[in-house]
Amino acid sequence: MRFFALLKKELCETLPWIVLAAFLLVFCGAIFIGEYTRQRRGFTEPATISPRSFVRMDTFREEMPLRDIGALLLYTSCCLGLVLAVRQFLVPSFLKTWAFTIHRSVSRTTILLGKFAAAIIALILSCGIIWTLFCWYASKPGLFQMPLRQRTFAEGWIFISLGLVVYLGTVLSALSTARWYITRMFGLVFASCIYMLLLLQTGLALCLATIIVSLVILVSQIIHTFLNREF
Amino acid sequence: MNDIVIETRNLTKYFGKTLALDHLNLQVPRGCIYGLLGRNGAGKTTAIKLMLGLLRPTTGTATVLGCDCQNLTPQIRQRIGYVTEGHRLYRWMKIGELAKFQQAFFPGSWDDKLFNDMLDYFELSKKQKIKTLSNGERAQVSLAITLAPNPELLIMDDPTLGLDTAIRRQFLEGMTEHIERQGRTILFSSHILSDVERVAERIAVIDRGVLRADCKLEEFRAAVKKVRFNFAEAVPGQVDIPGLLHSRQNEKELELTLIGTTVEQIDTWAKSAGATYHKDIDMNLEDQFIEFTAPDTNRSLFQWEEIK
Repeated sequence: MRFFALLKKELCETLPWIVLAAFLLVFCGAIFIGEYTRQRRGFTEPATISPRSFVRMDTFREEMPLRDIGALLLYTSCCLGLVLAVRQFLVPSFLKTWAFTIHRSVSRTTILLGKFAAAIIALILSCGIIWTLFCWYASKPGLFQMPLRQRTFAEGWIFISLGLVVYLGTVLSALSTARWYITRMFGLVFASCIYMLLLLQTGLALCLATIIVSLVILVSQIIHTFLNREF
Repeated sequence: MNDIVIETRNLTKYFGKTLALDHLNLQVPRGCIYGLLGRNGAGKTTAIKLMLGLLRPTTGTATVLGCDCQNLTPQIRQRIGYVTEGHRLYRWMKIGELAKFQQAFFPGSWDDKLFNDMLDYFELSKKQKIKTLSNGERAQVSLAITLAPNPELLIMDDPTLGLDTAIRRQFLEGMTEHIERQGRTILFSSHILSDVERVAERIAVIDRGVLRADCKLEEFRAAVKKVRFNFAEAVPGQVDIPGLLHSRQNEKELELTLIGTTVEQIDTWAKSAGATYHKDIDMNLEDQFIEFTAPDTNRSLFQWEEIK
């Protein structure tokens, strides 16, 4: 009950950002798909294409709009992760509400878990579900020239996990009491390195392993910092 | 049952190289209203945060309700009500939502009737958003949500700061009503001396991180006094009287602020110094506090208790 009260509070606080991220994905995703469908229709009906039109054949390769949505998903999940961490950990410092949050009949670990759970739910609601819906829509026969590949779907989830890494990296930086230009930046720098690393990777398994290892490192650091931090 | 609710031993806190609290030794007995006094930056908030385990002491220990403050369990925290400095609440919540949120952490002990009664008393509605409330109203909400779970110990950090006189009085009345319930203890910090005078039974004075007084309020009131001496000739250069805090003088008049000095000691010194006349000057708690914590003084409670 106490955990759910904390979770509800965290979700309510971050709700505007969840809605904004979801709206952005749906809106831009719909534009990408609409544009692709329009161009494809034009391409399949040669009569509508002017002789002077320049149409690159390679732009009509399979899953093109999903690639665009994937890129958007990557930026959205990373931005959402950053915003969630700032809202959950930096804003209370400015508003000085930490003491009110911490002094209650739950352990600090429970408070932290409430925040983590809210962030994961936020990422799943605003990015995960919408990505899944786009993939489901894209897998409908006749829409694209080739069927949706599972790899594309998994890549989207890797991007969402990267949002979680950015979230945790920002949390670590926000919780640190060191100066911004020294060790306080560790969390953000670490998350940026993981981001770069993942963009350079090609193997899904390796990406997954990198994400898991980075999550374990960040979570253990955050728990240690949060339990020992002064508020 | 232990009769000491809060006990600190040599509690010391440094922020970097700044000494915020210096070997604080304090005992808060059960069932009393305890006022923690000090100027801005004296270390009151630091002391309270250390007691609640929100800060870590550099050295020393503190126990609250018999539990080490660094390891306060959720069960112990449930028995402690805490009103934060500035009444920092979640601004986006409505009063009703905040109450519901708070209620979840006090299963079984939340008194909804008391909460509603307090809202009625303060003329607040559950539908009001926290961010639309004034400082005073926020303080009232803060008190209501802290008192509704019937805490055994209530700790308040400068609860009346920034409130107007009428609301301060309302707030204090609400607080004292709480203490009337058996076994409840209140520790509150303040630098509004009239509030302290109105409700506190015992006081502790913290000055630049050092505990300078820990006694009953009336003992403090009786101990700090100002006496004016008149001399036929020049004022003596050397003033040697027990409990001297500081002195001011002009040509034939000497004003001494004393702590714990008895009437006999004053009379004896007046005779020996050749004073023609002396009389006590009225001081309220604020005057006494200012004189007691003046920068050039460092006498403490323990000294004047010994003198007494």
